[in-house]
Amino acid sequence: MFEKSLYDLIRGLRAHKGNEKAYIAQSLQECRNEARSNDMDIKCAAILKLIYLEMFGYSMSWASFHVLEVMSSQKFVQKRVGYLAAVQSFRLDTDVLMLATNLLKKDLSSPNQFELSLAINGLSHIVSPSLARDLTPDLIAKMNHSNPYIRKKAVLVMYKIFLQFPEALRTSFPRLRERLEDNDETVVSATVNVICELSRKNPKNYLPLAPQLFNLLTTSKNNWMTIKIIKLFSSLTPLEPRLVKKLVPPISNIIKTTTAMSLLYECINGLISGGLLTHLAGTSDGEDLAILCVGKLRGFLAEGDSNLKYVALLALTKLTKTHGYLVAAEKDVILECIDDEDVSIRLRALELVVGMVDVEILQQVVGRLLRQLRPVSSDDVDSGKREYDENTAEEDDEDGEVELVKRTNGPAKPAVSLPDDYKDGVIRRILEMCSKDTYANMPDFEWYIDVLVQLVRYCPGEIKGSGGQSLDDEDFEEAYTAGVDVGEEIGRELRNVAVRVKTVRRQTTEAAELLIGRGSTMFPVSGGGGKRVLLAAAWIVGEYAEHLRNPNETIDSLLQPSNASLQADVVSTYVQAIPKVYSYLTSNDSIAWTPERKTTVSFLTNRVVEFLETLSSSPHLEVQERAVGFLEIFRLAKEAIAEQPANINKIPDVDDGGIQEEYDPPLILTQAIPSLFHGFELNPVAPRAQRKVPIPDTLDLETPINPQLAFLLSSADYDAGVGEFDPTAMAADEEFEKFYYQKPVVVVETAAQRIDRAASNAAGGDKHGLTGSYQSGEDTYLDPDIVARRKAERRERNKDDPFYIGSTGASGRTTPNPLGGEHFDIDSIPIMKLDLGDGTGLVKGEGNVGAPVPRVKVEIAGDEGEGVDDGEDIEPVGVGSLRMKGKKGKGKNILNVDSSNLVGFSLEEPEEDLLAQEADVAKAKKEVERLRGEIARAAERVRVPPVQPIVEVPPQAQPTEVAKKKKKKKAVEEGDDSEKKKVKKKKKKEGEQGTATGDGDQAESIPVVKKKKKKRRSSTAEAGGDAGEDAG
Amino acid sequence: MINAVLVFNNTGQPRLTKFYSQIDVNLQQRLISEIFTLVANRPASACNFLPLPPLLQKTSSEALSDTDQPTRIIYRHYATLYFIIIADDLESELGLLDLIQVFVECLDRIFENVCELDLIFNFETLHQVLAEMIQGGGVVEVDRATIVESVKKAAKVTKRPTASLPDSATRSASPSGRSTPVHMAHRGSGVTGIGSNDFVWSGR
Repeated sequence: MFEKSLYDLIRGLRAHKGNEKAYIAQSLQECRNEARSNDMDIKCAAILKLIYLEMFGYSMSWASFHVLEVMSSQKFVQKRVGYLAAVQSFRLDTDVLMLATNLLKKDLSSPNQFELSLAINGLSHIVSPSLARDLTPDLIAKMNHSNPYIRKKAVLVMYKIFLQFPEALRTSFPRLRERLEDNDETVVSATVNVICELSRKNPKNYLPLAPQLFNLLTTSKNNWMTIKIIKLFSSLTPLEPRLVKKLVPPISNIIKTTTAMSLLYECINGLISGGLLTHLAGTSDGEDLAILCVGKLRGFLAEGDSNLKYVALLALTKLTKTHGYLVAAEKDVILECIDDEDVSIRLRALELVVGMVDVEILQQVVGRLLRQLRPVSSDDVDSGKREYDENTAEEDDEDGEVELVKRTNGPAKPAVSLPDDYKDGVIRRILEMCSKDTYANMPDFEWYIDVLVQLVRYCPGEIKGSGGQSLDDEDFEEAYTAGVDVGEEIGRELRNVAVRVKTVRRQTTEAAELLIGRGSTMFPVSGGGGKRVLLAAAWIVGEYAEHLRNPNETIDSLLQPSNASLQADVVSTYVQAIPKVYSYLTSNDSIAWTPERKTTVSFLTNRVVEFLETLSSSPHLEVQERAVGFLEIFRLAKEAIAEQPANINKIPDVDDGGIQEEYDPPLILTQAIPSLFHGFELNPVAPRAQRKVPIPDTLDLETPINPQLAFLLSSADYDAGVGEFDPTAMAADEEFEKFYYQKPVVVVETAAQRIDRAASNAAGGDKHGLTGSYQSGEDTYLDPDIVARRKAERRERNKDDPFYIGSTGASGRTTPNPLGGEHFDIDSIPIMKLDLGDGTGLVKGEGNVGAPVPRVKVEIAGDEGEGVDDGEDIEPVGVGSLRMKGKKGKGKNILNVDSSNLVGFSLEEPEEDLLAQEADVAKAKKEVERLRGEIARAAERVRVPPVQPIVEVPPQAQPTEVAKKKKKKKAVEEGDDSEKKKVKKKKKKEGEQGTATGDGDQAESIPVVKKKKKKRRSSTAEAGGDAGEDAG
Repeated sequence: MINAVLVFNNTGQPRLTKFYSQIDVNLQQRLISEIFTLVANRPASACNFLPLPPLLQKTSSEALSDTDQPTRIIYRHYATLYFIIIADDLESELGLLDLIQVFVECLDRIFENVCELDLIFNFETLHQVLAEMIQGGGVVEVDRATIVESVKKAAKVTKRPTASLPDSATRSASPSGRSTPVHMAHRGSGVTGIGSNDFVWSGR
């Protein structure tokens, strides 16, 4: 049969486009056969093909033995293939690895430098603890090889050896240190590389090298090495603060002189992460250096190279911790990066900005971010995509032909709409920024509320059903730590503001009202994202019903039948909010109980009952339970309203003299229902505060509330059985069946219906006229309706403020345009007299970047229960902590290098170890003595008994057995001579204690054999000799 | 330390996979496809650093204890191929970018106007070049001339013209021979600054 070469395989793969899988399966089968071949060439070709296929995910672990065969080939070509295969496929648990030791030893002593380097390189991949132990001496020798080509590789492989066999570090360290003085630069570089890796694990060991390294730093011309040395020093400086002073001049010299950007960056990075700047903080040197660094980093940002921007942002992020004020000074360039076209740069910039944001720039930053989030008009996206597709389609056509070098510079892609996860991230960052340190940086809460409402509209569609299902308590815990829907987080913020900041509670409630009222029109348009904000909105609306602008409308929206199709937990908050708003509307007993009043109230009550009735058969238990509970109360209310007659006239006619009966509103409305909700005001409570509440001693969770429960239940079952013929019971049963076993019919609203409804809503005098269109041309980050509302509010607020220049009339123009309009009247320009007497009166424009924002002192409620916290960590309020927790562990990181062996590994052998070793040796000696004595005794015993049975044995058998004793049981098992065994057994019987000779003795003394081979051997020889004599 | 070097083409087909830590073959493939999805959607103007794919993201507990995490993924895109390096924070980002450039230039010298097909059919040579540059995750040589020389010398030992024979064969094998030779060093963006003899990123 003709075998395929790798070349044939690749061509075959290309020829079988579409059904590669079948072709590969066939080829793998061929390889299996070929790998077993006796012809080394065929075997080698098969292995090469397997390596190629391994790249595509076809494991070749089964072929490890064949790989070993190829590795041991005499021909270099084949050996190389073998080593490549080993490098690609061997793992620590590959069993043939232990067979490779001798092969590697041999190849490491090869005179051919390429074979030698092959072995070294191979070893760097496949080294195991035992290989490392056995080959360390060979490698140490190679570190002094005459050829630098070998030296550099030998030095580098030592790190891999140390990882597996840390003890090698002690023996080889002097050699390694010598290599720092090597006359070949690459060898020195490799050595620095190894020391750099090592010193991260245990820097203490390498402090003595500091002078040598310092020398290298000042003299080296090799940038690669200089970078490594700087990295190395930044792990040493925390241990030896005196180094800092010494390092500063050369490093700042490099910063000033180098032309290589990477070196410049690494110097700055080293200064920052090595703690040099922290150490020098406060001194004038440190200040100068920090200013120098920031200046250079600013240059990186301004350079226009995206890579440099990226790394500069990384460095600045680290620097904010110590020199925040210096970084803040560069905010102009940094803020530019937030709008960079590259998303990774944006994210970095965002991270940095979150760290450095303060009262002054918060609004500016958030404004920029909001502008980013504004949806791109769909036309742009489509055309961009099409263009892009064409572009790539052309490129992907044929993979191989295009020169690597040639770079098709397609037409610049138009702004593509941002990926959802980026939007998601941005929103979370905004929330994090704003809520940081319990709103420490918040200049204006009303603005924040507007931002929140705006953010809801920008919420991306739902990412992986994080919400959606009803959450049980345990689930809730999980959802809390795992990814929380952005909408929900926005809601959480809204609620936080409502609870904590009393002064804007009214505004917050109005915002929530807006969300609830528009829920039906807003969310379908924006693709369903952010819907979970309703969770908090409903709560706010209910809890602070007294702040509602229009409670009647709100309860109307809460009672929309379509609400029943919202997510279950949202519906249950709705159910909870409805009675609260209801109670606010109806509980006022100062309103006379007139017939109109009675009609409205009873109408409202009916609606509530109706709505709750639909929910009382909800498949979600939480919704059902709450609905059923409130349903009963409202039914009572309904009855009470019906019974309570209304006043005929509003004002009792005294003059008339007629007795006019006066009725109060039903007590259930004025007293009972409100009392359900008016207890204490809710205050923010620290997350762990509940744990501080001691469990009362009287709390008994064991005793059943009704001891007869079981009986009641069983009798209920029985009743159901008896009432078989009762038609009402039948109906109830049916209902029951239907409820639990049939899927509820969900009324699906079609898009067309929704649109119609939205349209009618908009036409029907919706006060704010939201149409769901976000494509406003106005260059502002808030939607026009929000802006309009703000303006109106501001106008209202400033109506009586004599210093406020109001716009004339109700036009939306706030800034009169001096050049526009032909009927421009100079006299109408309001003139303000400027008091120039003192400089403080200067007015700065609102848009001015640097203008300090006047900050209203706002009281922000802190968490309750924080003060009594005893040692338990309190999670900071805000979104940051949640975000951190959001990423769930995915097990061990796959590319991790296990270097735990080296962590804290000292170069000096610890004394305890030495002592322990001595003790071991002493113990072993004693053991040997004891065993020797035993053997001697046993030998004597053997001599004493009659020689009769042994005589049967052929004379030569006995000595062979003795010789084989050394090989332990194996010899005995292998021995096919049954007589031999018989003899053994007999001997055992005679030997009484069983340990006299043979197996028992051997097994016991095995551990000693290893340590004291010589002694043991001599003693066995003695014993054997004795036995042999007896046999003779 | 460098954790892995990967090369794959515009459709995500691997051309070279080298992991310096031992991981399962299936995980390797998953990682490649995750990185590919990350890299494939990036515009040409974007920076050359990738965020960590889900597979590599660290858990919060590990983030504190372990420093050997791969923290950076650096890539470069040449015509049909992506070159990826995964490394931890003891490596310099900008330096690694240059390392990729050195790698590609060495290949270019060996194959003379290297294209994807050269790499497909000579993937053993590809491994050799890489082994001369990076050994067990550490950079061992960055000088182009030295690397090329050692690879060529080693090829002579084999007494088999590995580098040239399949090379010419592939050229004839390519269905439409539209391989315009453009020298690697003259690529429009990104290379011009590497002219200095230190081979380390020196800006543009």
